Amino acid sequence: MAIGDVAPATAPTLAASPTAGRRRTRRRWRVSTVLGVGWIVLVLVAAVGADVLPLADPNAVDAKSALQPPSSDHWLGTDGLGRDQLSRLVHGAQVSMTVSVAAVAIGVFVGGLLGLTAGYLRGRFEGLVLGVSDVVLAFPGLVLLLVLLAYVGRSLVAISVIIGILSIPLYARVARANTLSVTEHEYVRAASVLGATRLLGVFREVLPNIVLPLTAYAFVALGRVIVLEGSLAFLGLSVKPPDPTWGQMIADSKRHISDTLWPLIPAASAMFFTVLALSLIGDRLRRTIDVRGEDA
Amino acid sequence: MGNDLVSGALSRTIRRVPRLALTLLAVSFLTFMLTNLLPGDPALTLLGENASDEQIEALRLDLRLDEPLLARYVQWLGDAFTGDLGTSYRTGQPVTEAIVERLPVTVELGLVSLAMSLVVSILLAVWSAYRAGGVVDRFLTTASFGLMAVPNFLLALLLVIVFAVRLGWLPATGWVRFSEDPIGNMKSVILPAIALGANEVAVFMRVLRSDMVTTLRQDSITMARSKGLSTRRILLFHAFRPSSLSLVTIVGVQVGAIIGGSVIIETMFALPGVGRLLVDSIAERDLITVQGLALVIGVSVILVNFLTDSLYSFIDPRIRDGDR
Repeated sequence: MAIGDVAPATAPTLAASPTAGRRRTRRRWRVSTVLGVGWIVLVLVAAVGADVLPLADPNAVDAKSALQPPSSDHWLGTDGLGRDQLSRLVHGAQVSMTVSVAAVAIGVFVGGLLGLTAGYLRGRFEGLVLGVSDVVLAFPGLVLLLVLLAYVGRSLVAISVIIGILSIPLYARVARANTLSVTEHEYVRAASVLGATRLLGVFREVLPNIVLPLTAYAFVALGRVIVLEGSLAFLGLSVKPPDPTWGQMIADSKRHISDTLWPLIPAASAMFFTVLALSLIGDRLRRTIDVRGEDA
Repeated sequence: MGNDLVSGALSRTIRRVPRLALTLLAVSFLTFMLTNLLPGDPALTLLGENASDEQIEALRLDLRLDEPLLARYVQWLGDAFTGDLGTSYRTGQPVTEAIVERLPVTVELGLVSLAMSLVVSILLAVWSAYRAGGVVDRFLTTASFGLMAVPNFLLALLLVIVFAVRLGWLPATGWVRFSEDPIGNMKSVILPAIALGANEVAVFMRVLRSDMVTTLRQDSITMARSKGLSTRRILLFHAFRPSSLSLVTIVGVQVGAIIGGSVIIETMFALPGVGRLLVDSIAERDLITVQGLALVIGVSVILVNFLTDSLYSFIDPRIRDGDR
């Protein structure tokens, strides 16, 4: 039944709109995805190479050259303390990427495993996983994060791990829902009839089917974590100064908005384009797997 | 027949009550444990290094630290039920009083922001769905991606730069009470509400547009059209209502996001709301207040979600249990 549903559902959509407009839309999306991937690669290179690249010291204060517009000395200008913005931006990428990749990795791995097991075993374990998710998700993410950080203290590791743990329920739900839709398919049942043990069945038959949805979700989540870290920095509750983060740079620029916008522009654009790129990539992936895919 | 459906929805709602109670209980336990899992002596942590021995001893008695954990939890929960969330050790003010004082600001901000984002998103979504695939639709789809990539604190800052610093039309910070000066109150709420609701516009718009597109393809719409009804009538009465189901759920889900966002927005605009209280309490390590706030926020979000879920199964009684 479930397998049969898939093919006819797509057929009318394809038959109804083989127009030039649609094709052009598709190509446009592909361009934006390529640009998105390119930008993320750039940010990753910056993050990994921050300490090797020939950049000024991101924390070197030089009061005489504060709030300068871009010049050949400082490509992106300087902030209120005369620190080089390009260097701070690149080092900030390191923090943003570390926090988001670590947090998402924890969430995907633990949450994916829990959701998969819950969806496959059903019964009590599933009830427990869903129940605990409900409790954690009852709190707005930022509120619980702030509260926990108040108790644990704020370091790069604490922030990454807590965001990771708090996002486990989300991934568990995505993984469970996808596991459920797969286990309804008959080939999985066939596999278990043919004697594949339950646990082996989970990994061999179900895992490949939930990896893609989880990955699509993870890309969007990476962007959310970057914003979350930025929010913390804005509240003065992220990694301790003077170490640069994008959120910290945006927060610092607040003091100078009546004089100049140069301190704001680099970090704000970097954050915007990174979050945008991640959500475009995530959306592209989701569209690839979602057979019911809406028109652009 | 109709009655069966309604009573079905009602019994589904009632059947979910025990689970609601269990979730609420678990949330309260989690909140309680936060203070009690503190490493070291909670009394010392709460009061800070400079507290005198007498103060610490008094607090230990007050917190009943000598009694077993479970007994303390039951006592705390009982107090919370009667509206007693303890007293802040920083300000000496009862936590409940502090929250009640600031609640109107956050509620007003949240409601204004929700109302604005709903109006804007519904108009845009209907327009977009009506001309699905057209220029407007494609522009709005792209724009909604862009909008969702702007963090609310950044948008807040941009709004302040344009409307407060450059144009000088609206205040950059501060709060005027409605009872003092209704116009001043509107002026102080508008920028924060936009900053808080902009992301929601994108979220609501995408959900509603997608449902509208599906609805507009259905036979009942062709039927209405063939009867010669006006486009506006069809869109508003025949297409919007059946398409608004997911929107209701998403609004419920996004209430949590709005409360979370108000923490940042209230801090940014220096509004004396609940979110600001949370940030201040955390900065001052006023953990009793933090605990009280966490409980109030967690419980409100659960209740709102329960209500929207129930509403959903009343609007569309075909919904199965646990389908989320």
